Amino acid sequence: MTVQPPPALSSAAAAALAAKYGLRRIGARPPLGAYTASLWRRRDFTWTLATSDAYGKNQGSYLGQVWGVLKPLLQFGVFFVVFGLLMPAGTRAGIGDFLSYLVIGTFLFEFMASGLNNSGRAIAAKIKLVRALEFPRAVLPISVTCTELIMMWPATLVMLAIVLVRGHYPTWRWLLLPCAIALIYLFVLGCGFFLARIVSATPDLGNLVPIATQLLRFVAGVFFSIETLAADFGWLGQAAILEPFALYLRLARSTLMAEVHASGADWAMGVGYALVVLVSGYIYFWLAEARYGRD
Amino acid sequence: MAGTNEVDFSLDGEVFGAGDGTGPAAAAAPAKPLGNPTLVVDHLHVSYRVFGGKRLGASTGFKPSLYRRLFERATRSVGAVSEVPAVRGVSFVAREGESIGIIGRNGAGKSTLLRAMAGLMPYSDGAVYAQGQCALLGVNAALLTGLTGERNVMLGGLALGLSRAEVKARFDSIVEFADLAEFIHLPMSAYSSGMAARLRFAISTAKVPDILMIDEALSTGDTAFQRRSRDKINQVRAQAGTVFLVSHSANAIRSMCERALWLDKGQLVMDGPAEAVLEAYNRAYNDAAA
Repeated sequence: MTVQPPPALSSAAAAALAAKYGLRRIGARPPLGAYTASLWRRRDFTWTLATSDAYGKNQGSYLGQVWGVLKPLLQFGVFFVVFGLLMPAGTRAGIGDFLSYLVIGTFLFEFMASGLNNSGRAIAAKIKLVRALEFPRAVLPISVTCTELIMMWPATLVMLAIVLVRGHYPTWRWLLLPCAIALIYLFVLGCGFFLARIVSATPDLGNLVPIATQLLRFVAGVFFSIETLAADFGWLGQAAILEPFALYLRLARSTLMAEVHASGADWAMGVGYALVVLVSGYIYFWLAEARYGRD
Repeated sequence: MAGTNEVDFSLDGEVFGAGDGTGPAAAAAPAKPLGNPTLVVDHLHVSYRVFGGKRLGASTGFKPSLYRRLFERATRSVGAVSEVPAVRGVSFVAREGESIGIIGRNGAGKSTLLRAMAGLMPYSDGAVYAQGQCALLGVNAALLTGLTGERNVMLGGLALGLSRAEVKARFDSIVEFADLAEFIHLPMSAYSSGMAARLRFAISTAKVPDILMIDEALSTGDTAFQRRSRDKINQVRAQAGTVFLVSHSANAIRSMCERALWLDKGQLVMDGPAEAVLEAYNRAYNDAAA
């Protein structure tokens, strides 16, 4: 071969040339403010992506969207048989209306668990989109958790219907339920930012997320009263009462059931958890913005 | 067609060398007037992280013990992560109104180079500087195949940074350009590869990009579509944009590009007028075959 590779500019000269003609560096992480602004401009994209995904998730089966209600109901049925009928009544100590307690716990925890599980794979699931179009990657964890929020609506209506049938009539406290759900959403999104970055860097950890949520299902008090059990466990029990998942379930239940109490301090802690996790998760995700989509 | 003589080529070489000593001022006055730089690629390195290959252990030559053999068989696919260098130190400058073909054998790093330049694939070393918005059209650049074409048009347009109203306003022209008629209401999984490619092209160029990169995307379209895309490419160039075209078809490069880059094993072999590069490329191939 007689051809020679052409001489190249030195790196300094290339940078000077780029600066002279106002070229921006590709693949560099934008500043946090500019990143947030471009994320805000893509809000329609984020929402369209979320609704499309929500619609697509239950397609490809005969019952279609009905599964959005059926799946949590069946899950609820399993827990009811095991913890409402098979287990001795002692496990239901300290709970007034077990059925309402269980349905709120199951449906809301399902939302948290699937939000965490899916946001871990947020980047990998949309890798083709990531490789095809340039947009702030934080769109992906947000749209994944929005999808879960959209899919939770029918289940929430069923939950309210069951609670009504069990004789819990609406009070002004019902108005706090959307607040509780909003706090849960923001907290899950914050965790989702952490998981999306961690799992995209180390895919192995994606396998551990469902295990972790499984563990949480048992310690967060989905089907027994964590407050009643905590008395036997000292400081560990106190920690279990104050950990975010148990706290959010308690907040949500307190809005619908008279026998569950949440203090003002509980609500303040719920807001605190959501804000701290959301802001730190967002920054943590943004720090690796230039690295997503490498594999 | 641009001049294809040797003088033109050597001038190009001088343009590239000039930056080192006399600064960019010298680059602004070549024999053929060129526009301002739109894309500067500086010693670009891109490597893939690949999971699930087999770990290449150092063979000692001795027959290992049974325990060792069992252990190695079990763990051979554990932690097997390899770095595959795809682009190794590529540098060039592209200018306004230029149309640049990229040629090379399979696996030479052409698609990876485009992706890295478009900001879709993180690079490991070097730098890319670009002006305005890049649009990359590739055969793999699938949208969401479970959704209808309609929904994909909306998603793609929004992702490009258009508003909902802007996408709606351009919807008809996008569908017309993609020539999909009633198929636009069906999921993309029902599309032929040519139809999907047409829709992708139509969506990506809905907002006329400053830099358009086409990765083999034209090869799946029919003649009518190829003509329409050629018009679109000329439109981009007329608006002082830059076009990159990866193709295995020498004719496509010859008719659409006046400059070509030849990549081999992730390195730039030659950069010059399309005709000269194609000739050298073919010569190298025929020599290798002989």
